[in-house]
Amino acid sequence: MTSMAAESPSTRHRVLGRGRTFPVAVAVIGAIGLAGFVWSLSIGPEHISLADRIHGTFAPDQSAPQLIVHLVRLPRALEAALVGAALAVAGTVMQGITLNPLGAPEIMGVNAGAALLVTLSVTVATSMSGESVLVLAYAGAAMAAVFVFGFARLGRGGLSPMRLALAGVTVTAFLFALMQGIFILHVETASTLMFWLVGGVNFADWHNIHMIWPWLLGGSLAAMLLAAPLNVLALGDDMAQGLGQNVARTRVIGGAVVVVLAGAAVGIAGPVAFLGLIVPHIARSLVGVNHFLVMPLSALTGASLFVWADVGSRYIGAADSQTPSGLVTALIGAPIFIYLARQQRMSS
Amino acid sequence: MSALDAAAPTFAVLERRSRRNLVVPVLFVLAVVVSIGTLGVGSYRVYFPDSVLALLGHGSHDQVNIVRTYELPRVLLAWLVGGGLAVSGALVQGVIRNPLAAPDIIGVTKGAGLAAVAALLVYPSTSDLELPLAAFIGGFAAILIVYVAAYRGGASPVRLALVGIAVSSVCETFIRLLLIKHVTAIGTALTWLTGSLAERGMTEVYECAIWMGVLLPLAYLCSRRLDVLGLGDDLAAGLGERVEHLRRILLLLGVGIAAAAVAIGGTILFLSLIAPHMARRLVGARHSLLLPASFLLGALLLLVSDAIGRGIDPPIEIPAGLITALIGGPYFLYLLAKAV
Amino acid sequence: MRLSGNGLTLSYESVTVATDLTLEIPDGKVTVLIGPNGCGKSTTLRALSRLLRPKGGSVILDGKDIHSYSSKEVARRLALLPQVLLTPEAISVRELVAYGRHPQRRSIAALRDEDREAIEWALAATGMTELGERPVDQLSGGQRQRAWIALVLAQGTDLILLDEPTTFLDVAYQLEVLELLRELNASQGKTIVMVLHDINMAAEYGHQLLAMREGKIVATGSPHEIVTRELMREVFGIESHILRHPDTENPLCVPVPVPGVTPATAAALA
Repeated sequence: MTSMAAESPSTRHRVLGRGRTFPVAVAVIGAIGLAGFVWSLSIGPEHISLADRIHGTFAPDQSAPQLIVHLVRLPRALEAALVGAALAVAGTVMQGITLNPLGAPEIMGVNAGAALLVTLSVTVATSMSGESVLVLAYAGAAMAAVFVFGFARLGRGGLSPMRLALAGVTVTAFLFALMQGIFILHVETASTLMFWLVGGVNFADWHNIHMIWPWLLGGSLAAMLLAAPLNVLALGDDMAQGLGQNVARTRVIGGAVVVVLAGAAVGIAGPVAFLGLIVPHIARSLVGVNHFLVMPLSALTGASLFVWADVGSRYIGAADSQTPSGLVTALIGAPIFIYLARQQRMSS
Repeated sequence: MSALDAAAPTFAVLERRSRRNLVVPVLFVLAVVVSIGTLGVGSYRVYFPDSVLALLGHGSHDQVNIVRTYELPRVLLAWLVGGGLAVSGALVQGVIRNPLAAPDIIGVTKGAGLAAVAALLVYPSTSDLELPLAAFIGGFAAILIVYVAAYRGGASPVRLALVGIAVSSVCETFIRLLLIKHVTAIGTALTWLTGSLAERGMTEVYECAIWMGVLLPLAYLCSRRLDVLGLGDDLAAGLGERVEHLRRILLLLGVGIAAAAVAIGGTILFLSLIAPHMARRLVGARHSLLLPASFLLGALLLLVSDAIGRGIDPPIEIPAGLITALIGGPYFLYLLAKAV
Repeated sequence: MRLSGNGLTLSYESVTVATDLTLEIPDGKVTVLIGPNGCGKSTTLRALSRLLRPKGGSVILDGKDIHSYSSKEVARRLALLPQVLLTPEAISVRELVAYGRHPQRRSIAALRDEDREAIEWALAATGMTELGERPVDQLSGGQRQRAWIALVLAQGTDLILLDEPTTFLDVAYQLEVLELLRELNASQGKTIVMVLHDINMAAEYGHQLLAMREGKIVATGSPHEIVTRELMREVFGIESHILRHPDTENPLCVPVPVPGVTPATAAALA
């Protein structure tokens, strides 16, 4: 009781204090993201004026520049924003339900699970439609997620971040080994799939976006609804139960949200590295631990980051070939992850 | 404490200990038997005892030729590469103090893989002797980066593992990027990446044997220091070990062994993780027994995996690394399900 | 006097934990470091055992700077039992204690007779001979701590440093461990330095107490000199009654709650 009384004012103070930075953070990151978005529309073999870019975005006429913007560049930028936001929110939810700073979908094997089934469908059942491939991505993500939660709940107090990371990485390695086996037997499709495995929005089109946006919208709304339960769960399982929360239900719903968001993102853009892991950390460092603020800010930050990563990817490598945007997130993400690891004061 | 109370566990411990001492000889005999048994498995099948006779120079010219130039190197490499990977896994698990760690985790495997793939794809003229060298350098470069990035007044095991994961992931991305840009050689590169003992000859055996011949005994000499390190940094220091220095040496040994194995056999997955794990169940945590037991189990696993890979549907060769992953992955999942 | 510290400044990375510490460890006595959390007592113990290199000043062991010895050499003169101990899986008590001989042994040489004697003696001294073949992870808390102390004893040093050897133990096991250390001091003349949390345990088992606060040594002396109302207020920020132990006459500190009084206001009230 005494510790509660001593704790709550300071916690509230911190949350409120950080809350004031929320509008600023949203404005700044939103502006950065928007700038990246507009820049993204300008990149390509054809030079297109700003006016054409804006027209092409909102009301395209039949002129070539505006059509290019509307049919090629806009979907690409939009898909980057959607995928980035989806993975970031998935990461936030995952870290919330596992109570673990390393509990991100790419660390935990969820992305790899989706990727494995997509790989299988593309190599074995070549005639499948995009929609059914997406469903398979969900199935793969769900498979991996069910497994992850199966053992994340085990053990007293759950797994330590280190153990969770090692376990997740090993599961991921296993799934990728299976994919490699498939590649060896289907060398002809390996190169295309490799590209997709690095992750990127290089081949975005409106069809993909129409296919996933309802899922992403639903998943994000559900994630926002989880903000309150996740805030309580952050106090630990026992405390959350003591405060009357159905902890198991929060985890199941959270897991479903992760599967929908990560599955959809991976299904169209591939297992993009590090986004789901680092973006929630960035958001938390800006506005504190309150999920009501972290969730939307993660979405925005994830979107901005991936739009910029995609812009960056177009300036890397030879002019005649495409560089997958996932390369850039890996290059940005790894140092940030290392920085986070160095901050950890965890014991073995 | 009654006499009965004290006697019962004592007896159990004694029994367990004598059983533990038997594990290494039993594993050794088993590995030798499997070596002989799998000697002639492959697209041109030579059955036991013909295979052994052929090895000794009896039998048709073809048989002798096949067994000596194709089969024998594979069996010997299975010992060196499989055993080496397992020992390096045991070393890294000892340094990281976590049974889930492996050279794969701290970046060595992916670093070696990246360098080798780069050599294979960007410089197609790379000779069979240069490829191992590239892998070796890549593995060391990766661990160097990981160690420096994890160093903060000492490289704590947790930071080593986490930074290793990040560096591995970046290496993996670059490997895929290289594969995208060089479509023609993708099959060769993938087979190498999965890990395979196919198309290796006695040259590779000698090459690998020199490294292992030096590094494995050195590792064995460190067995008690590994035990002491397992008691915690502070107590190890109190017992007179320079902990950070020791960690560096052991890591270097583990990486050297892993790099030598990967250089010859490719990035064979899961072996370095599960073989020491199985060994620990059989002989306990003391490294004077754990290291030899790991070596033998690693050799045994790779012998079996390689034999399955080449015997299941000849003349198609399924890379041994795929088989070890198929064995190792589920074993690992089983460990997790048991709440390690 | 074999071990002392001279004008020590101790820090982790850039955080300075203690400044200008000067302390002497009397031979053949039990010295106890006390003080509130974060006062630097464990850090001081680490410096005394060469685990931490001081930023300034020096630790003197047998007349020379402790950092002029090799770590093996220090381990043959001084033994340390850290607070956090990792029990290896499936290892017997005797195997654990044998690691105490590590500083004296070459890499893969078998145990020599003198090693065996030291191990058996350490087991006997801690009353663990009977349990020598038991796996360590099956022992009770007190037995396990005794096994660790046996390991340190097997090192065969006269100087033994222990960092909170009684934490995580039930009170009965705390007494078991402290009685063992007292016995080792009395019968073997071992010099013992330890960090303890409990003031009354420190007063009962220590010959010399070092009271620390915020990285400084506030006072050094016998239990009667240290466990006083004034020093308890200064070091721990508590009001207390000081009683006498009915049997041993050692001081006993009984804290008195003063509502609303924080350590800062306590000084003002005094």
